[in-house]
Amino acid sequence: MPTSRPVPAGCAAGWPARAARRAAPLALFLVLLLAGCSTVPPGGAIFAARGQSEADPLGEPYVRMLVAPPKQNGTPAEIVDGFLAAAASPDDPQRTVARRYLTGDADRTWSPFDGTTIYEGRTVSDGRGEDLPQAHVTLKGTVLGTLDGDGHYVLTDASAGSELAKGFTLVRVNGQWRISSAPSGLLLSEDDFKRGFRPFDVYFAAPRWAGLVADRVRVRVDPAEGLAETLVRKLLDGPTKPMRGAVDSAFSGVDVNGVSVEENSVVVDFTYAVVDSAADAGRRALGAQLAWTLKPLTEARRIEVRVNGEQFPGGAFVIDPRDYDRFDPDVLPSGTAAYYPKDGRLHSADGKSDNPLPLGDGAAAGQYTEFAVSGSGGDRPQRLAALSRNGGVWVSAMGAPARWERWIQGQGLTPPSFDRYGDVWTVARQGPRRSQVLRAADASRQYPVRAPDIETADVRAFRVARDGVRVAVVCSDEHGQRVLIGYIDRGGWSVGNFRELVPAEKGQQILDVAWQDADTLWVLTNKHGSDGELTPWSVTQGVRADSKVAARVERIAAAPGDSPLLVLNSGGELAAWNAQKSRWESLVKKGAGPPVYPLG
Amino acid sequence: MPPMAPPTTSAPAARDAGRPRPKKKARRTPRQIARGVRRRARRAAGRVRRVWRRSLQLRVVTSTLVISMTVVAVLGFFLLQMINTAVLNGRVSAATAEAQANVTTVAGYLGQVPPPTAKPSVPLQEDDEVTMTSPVDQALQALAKRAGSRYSVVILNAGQVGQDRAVGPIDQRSVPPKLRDAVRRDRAEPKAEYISASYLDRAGPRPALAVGALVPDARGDYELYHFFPLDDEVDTLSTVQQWLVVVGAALVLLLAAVAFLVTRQVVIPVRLTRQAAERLAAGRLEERLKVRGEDDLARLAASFNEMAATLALKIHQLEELSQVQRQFVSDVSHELRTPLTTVRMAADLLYESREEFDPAAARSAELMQNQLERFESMLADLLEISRYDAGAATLDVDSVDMRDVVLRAVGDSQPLAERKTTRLDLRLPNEPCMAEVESRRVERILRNLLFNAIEHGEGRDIVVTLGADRDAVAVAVRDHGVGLKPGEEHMVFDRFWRADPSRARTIGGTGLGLAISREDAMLHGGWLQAWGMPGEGSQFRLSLPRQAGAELRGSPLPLVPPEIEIRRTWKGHTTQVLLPAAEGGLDAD
Repeated sequence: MPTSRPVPAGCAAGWPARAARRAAPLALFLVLLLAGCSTVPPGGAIFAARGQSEADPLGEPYVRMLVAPPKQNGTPAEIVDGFLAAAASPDDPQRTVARRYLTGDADRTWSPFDGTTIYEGRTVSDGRGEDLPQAHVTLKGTVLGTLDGDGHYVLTDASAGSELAKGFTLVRVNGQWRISSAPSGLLLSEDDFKRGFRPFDVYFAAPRWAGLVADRVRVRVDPAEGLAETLVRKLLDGPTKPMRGAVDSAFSGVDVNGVSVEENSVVVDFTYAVVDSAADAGRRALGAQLAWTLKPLTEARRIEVRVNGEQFPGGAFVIDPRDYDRFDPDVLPSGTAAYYPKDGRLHSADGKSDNPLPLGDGAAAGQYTEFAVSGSGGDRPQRLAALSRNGGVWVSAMGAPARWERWIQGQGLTPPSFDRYGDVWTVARQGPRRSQVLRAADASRQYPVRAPDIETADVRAFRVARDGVRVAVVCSDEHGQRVLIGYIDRGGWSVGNFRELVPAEKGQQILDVAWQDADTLWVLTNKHGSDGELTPWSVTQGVRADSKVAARVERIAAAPGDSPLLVLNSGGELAAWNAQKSRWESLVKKGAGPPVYPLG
Repeated sequence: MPPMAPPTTSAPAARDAGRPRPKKKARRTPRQIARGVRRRARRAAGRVRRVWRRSLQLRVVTSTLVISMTVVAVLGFFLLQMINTAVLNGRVSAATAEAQANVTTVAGYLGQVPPPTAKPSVPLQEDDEVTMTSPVDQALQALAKRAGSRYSVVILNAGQVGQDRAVGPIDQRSVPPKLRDAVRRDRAEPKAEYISASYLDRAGPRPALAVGALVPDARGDYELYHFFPLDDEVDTLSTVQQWLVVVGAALVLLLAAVAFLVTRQVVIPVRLTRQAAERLAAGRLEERLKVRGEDDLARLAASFNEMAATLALKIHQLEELSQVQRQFVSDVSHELRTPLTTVRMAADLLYESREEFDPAAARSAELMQNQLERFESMLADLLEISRYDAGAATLDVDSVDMRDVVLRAVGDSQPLAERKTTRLDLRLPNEPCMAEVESRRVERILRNLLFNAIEHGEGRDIVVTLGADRDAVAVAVRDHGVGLKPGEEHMVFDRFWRADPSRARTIGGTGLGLAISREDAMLHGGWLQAWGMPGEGSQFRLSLPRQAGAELRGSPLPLVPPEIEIRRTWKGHTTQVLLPAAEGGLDAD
């Protein structure tokens, strides 16, 4: 139609512009679509590359023994080996598989719960003919230690020299060798023990909730339960035998239902008794024990306490481990400076604040030796204690000028030692092989404290650890000079549960001891007048680490964290151990007195 | 109930008495329910079938649903298979590589000479580095560090006691015996199997991939089994599966919705067009469709409208033309009448005085008289039929005995029959045959039929039969003349139709008699039908309803004479269908 012609013509003229306008968003859309279609688009936004946490972040990889039933036609030695292996497996707590190695009678008499012995050695068959009705296999080696039911591992006295010889008798049952008599209790080889148990520190409250005290236990690796739950259970079980009475626990009658990980926090689910425990001891004590005990597993994650799967009554109970840092059983903050006397003044060893504290007026200054410094925290003023030449322990506030008052009187006192509660401790040598532990909280009165184990020895040093519970005692008796570790029971006011840490050796002289932290005790020994040896001992485990040669060292002082180990060499030279350069650095050339860190 | 009966017995008795009714009910009810359900189901199925047959939309949507469901299911299945394979393949290759590396590590540890067991200087030294003495322990220690909590390892030694170890919380019973056999049999190649592994630290089983390999050793072969948990993969796959199902369902629904919308767009105009066509067929020629847009459907509507318009125009034109023709015939008839009257008067005059003329002129006068009579009757017939055409014919019914009507008509035809030496055989019922008809018209029909029969009867007998039933009466006129050829049964009623154009009309029929007769019969709501066979003669049957205005459903007399029918059956011929099917056809033309 001719009339309609102009309209299409107009359309055609307007087409390119309009089409371009319409096509632009379309093209953009297509480009975006294509970009979205590519599976891994290169370029693009930066995103966080934090991988997903592992399935069981609370666990640690471990190897465990598998149980296996008796080997068909096994030799007697193989049967005994299999029995030992089956008994060592954590898969089978009731030892039902291990019992299949036993004859019926032996099964009735054998009990795996009669104590655990850790040995190093191997089975030896008597090698007699297979045709005999009975066979004997002996497990020969050395006993390394025993594990108490509460997880406390006791090393066997190396001096006692314990030989292991456990005999197994085997008879044939239906043509197969079976054990007819087996020594009661569990026998774990050293490997089994390492494999099946992990050392952990469980933390309990020091008396009067003053802080935390570490208790070293061996925790059984239980594949069904998870390490964290076992550890919490251990915490709920209470302290090991030596520490019983010396520490408190915020938990009483509580059981744990389970430990799980939810997002970024660890959830510990207790029974309802935890609510009562929290009411009695306070949430902080409870949280501190839990946070510190679980610290190696939870690391910086938060811990939430739940009650039977529900929120803690009266608001969520979430423990942020950073809030509990100040409950450090080492007590001293990191970087605490040591003090040393020189020329009648007490100097700070950090070298910065050179404002020495006069110890007394003129000549009186020389009267005081063997200083001890109390902790600075809390409402108590920091104090200084010293032995006076005239006898007695004198205490002064850390402030100029020193105003000394006598807290403990007596002769032949060991250097004073403060505990975290501000009490000063010393031991009075009342005669040969007669010692009395003395304590004073102020100048008004001094208290004798019972310590039956050391009262019949010559106590040369008595040092209360910074956790306020452990004491290190250097004593000499008929065995020679040795270091004992004991525990202060503040309830009944006694010092007991002494255990030998550094055994006596012939000709060994123990010059000084110093607590580094709650676990480590530095011991300065000297044998036959030769060069001294400076050895760190682990108090909780009873083992020593590599020692340093200390030629002219007379006294030592140690503190936790990055505070250096200080020694006083003969001639009054004060030196500090530089761990980075691994050498001694002299701080004061001469004239210094024995260095001392607060507490310890 | 006897009054002494203890209440304990009365209660069960009462219950017994009461029980049959519910029982009967319970017995009857399921059957009733079943019947009812079946009935309802059948009804519903019928409804559904009807809807299915009638609704194009439903069919399209349903088939779209079915097809898309099939396609989505097949596609989804293959897609899932592919994803399964891809995800698991990646996992398996990573796992086997790791397992292979571990096998090498273990072999390295086992192969090295065990160090002389020197007592370490510090017994049970603390710290992470726990040193073990046996090579298996050392090897697994290394694996444990590597594995973390990613996978578990089990090492078994069938030959040596106390060498079985595990890393991770795997239950040692998870080692599948089939895999163990395979690993032991084929020593060179590591084997893998998907298993449902149980772990000591969780309750239920967990899907895992077990990889087994053999580490040969002098002290007996170590079998190393790795267990890689597949929870993540299974989670991923089940998520993918769920999404596939959801997306598939959504896709199917979407396609169905699209099909619904599209067919709706097509079906609604088609439905409107259909309705319009129906209205058009019902005679509403002014019906038109709305034309919207320029698409195919709009063009269909436009074409429809055009067609309707053309149709209406043509019909109108034809009507007009027909009207004009009828008017013309009528007018011509009328106009011819006046001159004919004059001619008639003159012819009568001539006829009466014919004896005075010479014989040739007298003969001419007679001829003129005859032809004029014929001309007059033809004109009368033409006028009559044009009345019919104009729709001016009216019926004046009266209840009459059909026997009288037949007798009168036969009486009228008697002279002609005698002239043709034809005998008329009357077969009338004994009792009266009453019918509401206009006797004049029926007489005329019968007269026409009789004249026709006599003319073509070739002197043979003519049988006139009157039959009646509850609703209808019928008169059949049977002759035994030359009969009708096939196809002539309908043509006999055409105007001016002649069986043999060469034959002369002896009785001077106008050629309109049968046409008028048929119009008369139709005016009564009856039928006039013919049957004939060459050599067998013919039969005409008039069927009329007894009550005026009633619909005629059947005739009391057969159209084909019974003797012919019987003969035909004997010959084994199948009956030629001429019966009521022809009725509509007759009406139509």
